[in-house]
Amino acid sequence: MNYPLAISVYVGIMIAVLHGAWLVAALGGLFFSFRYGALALVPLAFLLDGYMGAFHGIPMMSIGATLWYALCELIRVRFKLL
Amino acid sequence: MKVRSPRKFKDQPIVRNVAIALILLVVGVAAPVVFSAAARFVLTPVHVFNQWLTESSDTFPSYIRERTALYEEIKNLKNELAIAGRSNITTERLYEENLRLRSLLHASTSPRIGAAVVARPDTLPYDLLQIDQGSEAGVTVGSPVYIGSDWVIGLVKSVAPKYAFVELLTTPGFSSTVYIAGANVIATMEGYGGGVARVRVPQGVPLQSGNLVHIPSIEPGIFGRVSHVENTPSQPEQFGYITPEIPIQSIFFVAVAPHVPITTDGELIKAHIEDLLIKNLSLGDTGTTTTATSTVANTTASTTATENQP
Repeated sequence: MNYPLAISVYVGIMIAVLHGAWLVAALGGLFFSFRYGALALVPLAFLLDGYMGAFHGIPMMSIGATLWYALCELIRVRFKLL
Repeated sequence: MKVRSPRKFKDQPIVRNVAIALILLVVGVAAPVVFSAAARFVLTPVHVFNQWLTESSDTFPSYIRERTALYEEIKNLKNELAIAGRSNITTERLYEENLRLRSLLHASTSPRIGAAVVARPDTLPYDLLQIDQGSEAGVTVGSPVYIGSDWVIGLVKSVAPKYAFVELLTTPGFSSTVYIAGANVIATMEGYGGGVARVRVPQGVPLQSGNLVHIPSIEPGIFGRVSHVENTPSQPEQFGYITPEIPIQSIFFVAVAPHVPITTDGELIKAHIEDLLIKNLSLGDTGTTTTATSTVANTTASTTATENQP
């Protein structure tokens, strides 16, 4: 695992979400998911939802990240990618 | 028959992780304040970095911000340019339509005499221009003088064989009946001097900066726009100050129209104003003012006639 790249992408996704650059965040998330796994994105989504106060309503990012993780894992198991 | 082992299903990490995430979601929705406080604490360095990037006056963030602002400005200017281009096309289309209609009515287009401005205020008294064409070229006293095709700036005051003097409509003592589009009112415009003319209208007339000022006795005859409105509520009148579109010092060439008739008939002037109203569709909501001021046209038309006589 290329840690410097992984950390850079991870922090990049976080900053992109904070600046509202959703397309960049989505592309970064896609890259990170297939390169390093989508599990690490779940705590990030929780963190960002908490930071933005989304838990006072519906934490869409957390729900989305959880579902995305499940989908990625199912795809990985189904097609025996790893 | 293939049977899935419950133990194997429980051991799958995907199920475990999703279950943990769901539990955390429920906890988060139940106690959002705790989650928010924890997230703010964890994200403090990111927040500080974000603040530095968006608000700091350091070189790098300033550069980033200015670059973004410039991009935004370029985008806005491109939009404005596109809108202006479309407006220009509309103007051209209307101009061509106007020419076609004029040709259908066999309306004569008056020839213009191009002239260069050889002297202007500084060397001449204010509101007076000297042009390099005179009676030999066909310039006659009283001919309207234009910038471009529509903007009338003054009348020829005296003519010599080789040159002529043009008195601007802003000369003190000069008065003319004008129609102010937008405010939809007819008023008497009086020269104020210094390249400025003034109209006085009663309180309540919706006079605004940018209103186009037509001189209905000259066709075509647009003088300028109301550039400033002086309105003291305690006074019975309000004043609108009008300046030509181009400053006197920037006028280098003019066009003299010796065969343009200066209308002195009140009925014709009224008809011309009605024509202007029909052309300008944005005046639909100010219809009451037309009725209130239409009588002014009749009375002031005679003023125009006397003022515009050579």
